[in-house]
Amino acid sequence: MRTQSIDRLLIILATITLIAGLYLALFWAPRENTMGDVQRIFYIHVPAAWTSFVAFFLVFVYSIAYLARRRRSRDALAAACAEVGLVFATINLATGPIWARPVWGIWWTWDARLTMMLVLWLMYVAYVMLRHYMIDPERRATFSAVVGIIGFLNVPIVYMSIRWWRTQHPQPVIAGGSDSGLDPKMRLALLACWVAFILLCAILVRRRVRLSALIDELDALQAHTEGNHISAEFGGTEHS
Amino acid sequence: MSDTPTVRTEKITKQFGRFTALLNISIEIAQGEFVSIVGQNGAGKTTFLKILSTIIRTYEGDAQLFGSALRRAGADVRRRIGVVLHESLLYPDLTVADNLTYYARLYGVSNRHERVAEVIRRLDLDVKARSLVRSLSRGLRQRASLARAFLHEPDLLLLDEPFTGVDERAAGLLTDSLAEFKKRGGTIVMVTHNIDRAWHLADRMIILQRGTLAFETATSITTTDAFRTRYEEILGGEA
Amino acid sequence: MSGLATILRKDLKIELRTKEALSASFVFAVLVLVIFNFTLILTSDEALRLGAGFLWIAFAFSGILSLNRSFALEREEGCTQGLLISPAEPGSIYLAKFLANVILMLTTELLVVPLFVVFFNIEFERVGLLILILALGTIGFSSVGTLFSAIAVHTRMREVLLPLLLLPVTVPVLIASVETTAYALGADITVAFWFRLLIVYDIVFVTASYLVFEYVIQE
Repeated sequence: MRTQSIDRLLIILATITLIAGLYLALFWAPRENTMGDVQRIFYIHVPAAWTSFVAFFLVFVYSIAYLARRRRSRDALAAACAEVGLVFATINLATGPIWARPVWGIWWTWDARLTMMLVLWLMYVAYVMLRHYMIDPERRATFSAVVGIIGFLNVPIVYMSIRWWRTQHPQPVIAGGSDSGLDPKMRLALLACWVAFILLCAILVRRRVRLSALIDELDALQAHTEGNHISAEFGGTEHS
Repeated sequence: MSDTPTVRTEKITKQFGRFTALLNISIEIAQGEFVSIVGQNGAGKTTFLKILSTIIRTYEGDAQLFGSALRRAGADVRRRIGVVLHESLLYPDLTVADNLTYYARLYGVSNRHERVAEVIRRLDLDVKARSLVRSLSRGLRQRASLARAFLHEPDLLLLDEPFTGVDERAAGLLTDSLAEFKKRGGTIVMVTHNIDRAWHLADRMIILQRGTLAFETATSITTTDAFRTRYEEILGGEA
Repeated sequence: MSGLATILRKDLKIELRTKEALSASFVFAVLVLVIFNFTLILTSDEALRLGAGFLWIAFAFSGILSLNRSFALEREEGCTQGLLISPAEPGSIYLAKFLANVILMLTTELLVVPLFVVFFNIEFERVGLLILILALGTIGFSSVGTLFSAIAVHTRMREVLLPLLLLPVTVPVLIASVETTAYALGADITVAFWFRLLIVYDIVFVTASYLVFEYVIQE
């Protein structure tokens, strides 16, 4: 009952902030001088990136929590955050070229932030694939926790290296940093969208965790009916 | 004989996901005792053995080997255990002698060359000592695996179905080696589904059923037939 | 720590007997160079400019072959369990496997570089520096590589998963190695930052992998 009311509250809040955020972003915030209306995709593009960072950071936190206490719920949370983080990272990567093409005249540039996001995306796709390729749930949890920790430790180093690499290999184009000297109205619209995305992220993560709990339960029921077969699969070597 | 039991477990529980492999297993095994654990496939026998041999390190409950906590078992505890599993734990691309020398070094055996020569002789592997493990039959691998387990003169032997796939000769060699090991005060835990074999060797029998300790008896106070009847009752009770 | 030397010796002995990792990764690395030659027809000037990138693509992918082998050979006949029941601490096991991988990868690299020089008619002077760079880059690559190899071997599709897991995480090492190698081959760039990055990466990830390895190897 309690979970349900939290969910309902989250959904109501998310709906309100999402509508408000979109209104602020699309109508209320002033039109950007040089880029025009296409700049408004920025209110989706940037909060999506921030949200995915938060989600990937949570993967790291829950991975450590899992290794410390071995609670299955921590593993489910880490997995859910990785998947939902990937969704937002994908939104960020997809909206980037839509913005870049009319503004800069190119679809893609190996700019530090874009490249960073692409590398992160690849890293967490591999994390999700690892989970798919394992049967034993306990090992899967341990292994993905290790990958979640190592992967996140790497983020600052990747970012530093990409930035430095950029300064040595200047690319053509790019007019003006996009979030420097932001108009206060723009900033408010941006924040509103971010809050909406974070709420959306929380809803999705909660749903995903509940789904894995249901899958677990199903597995347990199957284990109960099949008994020995499952143990042979999990335990590896229970020989005759 | 010392007072602290060689093996002591308190409410060991192990889950694989939501599948419970072991539930509240509490056992004490004294020094010099030979305990056989029998049960069907999936009863949790191998899991129990893997916990005692420190292969599985996450479980609930507590266990002590030689009086020190298994969870913190360091090199000194592991050096006193010899393990025979279904697989030989020998590198297929090395010879039997190379494998044994490697393990002797890993366990810090002081008189390495003599020990390796001795276990090779004891298990009658002289002819095969220079052969790659890859080329050995299952029976020979099992013998080499026993040689590996005896190599560092452990105080506790953990055996998982040691008689599976071995020929009569190897079975004889194994039985003799175990008897000799026991005579020197060694403790043995053997997991098997072969009740006859287990009965002849063991001081005590334990039946695991679906991860729980279903029945326990000393072999001296009952007969094989009585035990077998009981075993079938327990198995039948679940079907 | 005595376990470290023993396990390392054992790995090298197996490799000397089978030569499986070395031959596979060497031939693969040479193939990469040959394919590059066909896909991008190069003058020796261009080869000098792009060579660092070629070399590290060849090293990374051939390195993955030998990393995959590292724990595959422990898996046969349950040898991983043999390590777990032994007095060797997980940290020593990690360091032994890691050093074996560094030695194998570095050997392949030292065989491939002369071939690269011959194939593309390259001349360069900073040989000692190049060897140092190869070592630093290989240490970084194998640090996480060894850890992830122990993970990948327990999954379905083992060989496929390792590069997917490893390459994104080793992006910094690859960038830094390519930049410093280009410098060693004669490029006129500043590389102080990249040397620092290589050293920091090596220290951070050897330490982190050493610490978490215990979780990966136990059952």
